[in-house]
Amino acid sequence: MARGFVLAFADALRDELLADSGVTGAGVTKVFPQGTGHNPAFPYITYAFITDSPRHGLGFNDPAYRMLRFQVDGYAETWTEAATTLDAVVTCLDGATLTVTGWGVPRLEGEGSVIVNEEVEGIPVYRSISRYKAVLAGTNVT
Amino acid sequence: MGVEWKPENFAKTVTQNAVNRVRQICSAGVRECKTSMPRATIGDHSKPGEWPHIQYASLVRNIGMWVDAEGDKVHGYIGVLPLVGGGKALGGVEQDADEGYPFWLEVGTRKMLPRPWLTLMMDSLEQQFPGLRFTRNIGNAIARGVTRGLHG
Repeated sequence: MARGFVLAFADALRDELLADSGVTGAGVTKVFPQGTGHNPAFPYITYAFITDSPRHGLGFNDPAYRMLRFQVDGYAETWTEAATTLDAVVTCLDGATLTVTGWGVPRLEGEGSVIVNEEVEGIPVYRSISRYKAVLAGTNVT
Repeated sequence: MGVEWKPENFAKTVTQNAVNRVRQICSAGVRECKTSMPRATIGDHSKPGEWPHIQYASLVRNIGMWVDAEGDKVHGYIGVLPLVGGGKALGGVEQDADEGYPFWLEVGTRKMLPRPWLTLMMDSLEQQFPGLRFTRNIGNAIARGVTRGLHG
């Protein structure tokens, strides 16, 4: 049985990030789902899926496309490192197309980004947050 | 019958219609937020990706909107109204005033997955108002603890 869309998308996203020379050039070697990863070395990237909804179109009985919104976070020890990671991630993902095995080739579109200081016990941890949406069109959307 | 063209009146009418339309969309967004968050019960916490549950109402009570018209541009904002009065919310009820709270709910933390109330609202509005498109300023908006909300 083929992997579900979100799991297959996660695989494709991780592969895309780790295959990008800009991202690895920023020092990132690990990509985790958000909330996992046990004290990984900085910098590293996490991702989280925010919403996933089939969308209907006029004249279609079945959903005409599917929109997945997700977030990619880069964690770094310094603001500069966070900015470098963010630049690399946005350059890699904004406008890219991902090949999601068994599902199709959704196009990604950036929805904004920001860097915040997520301080832990007085120690600054800089987090670059960027949001994207992926649109999967065609008949194979559910 | 004579017809008189008054461009200044026309422009004013167009702007007013745009303001009304944006206001309608923003109102729908606020209503969506306020009606979609369930009340928390003992042992029933929100799950990742869901609307956050209401415990002290510090988020839901402060969600609001406003519309700015400047020249030929109309901006609608939906989000958390700025907390005022040294820790008192707009409703005047004292609480743990943390402007970051809505922000952390939306984006999550290293130890908590997002309860993306703002994005769920955007998803809902996009389906209610076909053709609606949010600008790419969500990053800037959430950076301020969503005090300025969406720029749509």
